[in-house]
Amino acid sequence: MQTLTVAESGFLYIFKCIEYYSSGCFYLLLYAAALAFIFFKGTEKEKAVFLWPGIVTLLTVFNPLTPVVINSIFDINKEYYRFLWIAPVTLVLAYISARFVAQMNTTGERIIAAAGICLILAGSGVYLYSSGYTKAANIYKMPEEVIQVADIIHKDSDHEYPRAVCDYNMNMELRQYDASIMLTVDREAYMNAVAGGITDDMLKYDENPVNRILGVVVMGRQIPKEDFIKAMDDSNTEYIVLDHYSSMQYYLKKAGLKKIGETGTRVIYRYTSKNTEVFTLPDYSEVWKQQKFLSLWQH
Amino acid sequence: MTLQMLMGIMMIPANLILYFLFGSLITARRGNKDFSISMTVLTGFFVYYCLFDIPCLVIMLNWRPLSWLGNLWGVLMGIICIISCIFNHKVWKDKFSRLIVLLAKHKAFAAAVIVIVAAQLAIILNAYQFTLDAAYYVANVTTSLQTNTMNIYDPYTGDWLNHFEMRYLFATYPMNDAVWCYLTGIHPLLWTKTIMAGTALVISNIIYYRIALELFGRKTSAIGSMLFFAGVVNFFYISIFTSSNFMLTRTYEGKSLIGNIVMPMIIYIFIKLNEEHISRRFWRLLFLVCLGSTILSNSANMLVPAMVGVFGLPLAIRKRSIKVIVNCLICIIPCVILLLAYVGYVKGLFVFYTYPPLFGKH
Repeated sequence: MQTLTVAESGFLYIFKCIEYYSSGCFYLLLYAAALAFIFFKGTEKEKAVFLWPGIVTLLTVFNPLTPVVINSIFDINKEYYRFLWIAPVTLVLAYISARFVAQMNTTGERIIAAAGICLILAGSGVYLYSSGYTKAANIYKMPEEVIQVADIIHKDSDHEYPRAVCDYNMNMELRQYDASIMLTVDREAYMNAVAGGITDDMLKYDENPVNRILGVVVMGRQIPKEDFIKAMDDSNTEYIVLDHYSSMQYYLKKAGLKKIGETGTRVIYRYTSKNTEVFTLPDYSEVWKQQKFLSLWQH
Repeated sequence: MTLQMLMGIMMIPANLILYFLFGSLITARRGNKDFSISMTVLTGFFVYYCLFDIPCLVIMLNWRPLSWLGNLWGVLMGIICIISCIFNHKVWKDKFSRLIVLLAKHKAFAAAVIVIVAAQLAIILNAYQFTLDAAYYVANVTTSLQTNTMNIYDPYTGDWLNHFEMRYLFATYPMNDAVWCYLTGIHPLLWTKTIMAGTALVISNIIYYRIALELFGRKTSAIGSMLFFAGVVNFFYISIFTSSNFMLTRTYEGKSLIGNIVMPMIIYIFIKLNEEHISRRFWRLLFLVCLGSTILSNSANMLVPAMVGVFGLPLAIRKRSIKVIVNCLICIIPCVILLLAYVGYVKGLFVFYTYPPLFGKH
């Protein structure tokens, strides 16, 4: 819930939060209906287990005042939705469904009741793979191209920790597979660029190298080549991975980058500079020699 | 490749056996009478993470390498498992022989449960999911393994961090993943997205089973259908924010375990407390779960006290017992302490650096 804030929404925050949280899934309503059923028809045990805690949840977690109060102490804007997990929707719906089926007398009735409940659950919910089931390409659950890009960069580089900037998906996945490839852009900066958070004025006057590289790679801005090269130097970026269809390939070639390889849908460019500061891991063995184990705790 | 996958699949039951061995140290103390295999696995899950956190924090805050922790934890696990075998083998023998008889009596139920869980595993473990959070959580494991350090480098970029990020410092769940990758040679992607995903799903279903057992008694068909419907609900209760979505796609995040293991576990404990709220046994278990939750995710520090409050308050009123409130407050102490520590960190009161003062060059 990156865009929803208590400051802007006030007491309406909780309603908007529920709307975002549900996103077309009506299970919170089914949960409320199940609690109502327990209220009228439930046993004492069912009331103790589900109803009374459910009412306390309704009065606290779902209370419009609560996020406003908590937000005055902690920044809760992005995380409040997790409090909605306190309502045990899965358990209550599964229990009520099983209870209903168990009340049927014959096996045939049970099968029909179970099928009916499944239809209701499917119809009022959103299926995990509603936009399609993608089978993992390998045991890493990564597209093969992530592995290929990592291989190409390492074969080309003469040091252990080369630094790259990639297209969106590749940038998010590359270091999950291979942490010896450094990335110039972190997730927040990348998402900011994708959301249009970098203006032309920023690219012109602000010398932030990350923004300038994102301006080229993500936004397709043809900033002056010397500015782009300076950004590459300042950030020690050596490789750029682009989508095959990116219109910026011509720009990169003109800026002096050299194509070193390609995969099914990606193309990899290398920037060579004498100014690149190669990343090496800080040598902690000096610390281990000079600072005895647990000495931190003695101080 | 196939060997790694096979090893990966075998690690799911291996994890459960490990939790069983750790849990037996507590549950088998009561002897045969109350010993339950499923409760032992659940208890062991929390005991395991509570114990892991101690050497992990000590070694991490002294800037020592992951390999130190891996070797030490490997030895400690071995010792704990041997001790558990020595002290508990008689209880296990008796329990497993009774279990075999029970399973033979309820073959259809056992087969149905296996099919329900295996079908879910087959679906989620073969699926490809693109999620932004993996860029941090999975990359954190890969980075720790690559650099032989713990939480010292930014998972997003690989750059060196000058201080430990407090949000992830005490929640050492990803470091356990890194330790296992170090010990077994399994790639972090296989460990986090297949092995722990499968392990978490099975544990979650064990809790559903325990709850169903409490609610339906020995009616196996009702228990089986509750497990089936829980699976259906989880697959259809989907938006990027729901706990079900976290369980099916993002178990590498500790908060997923808070939503799908810790919270149902708290509900289960309160079901038992509704019956015997004076029993110290379940209050101790609640304390263990609350303590263990802080090691899984920083999110637990707010969510778990809220959850305990929501379930504890009606219990206290119904039983007219102040002691229930007091016990609830005691149970959430670990969460509150870490919450206050986090507030102190955010307010700039303290910071844990990733280097000692003498390490001047950085």
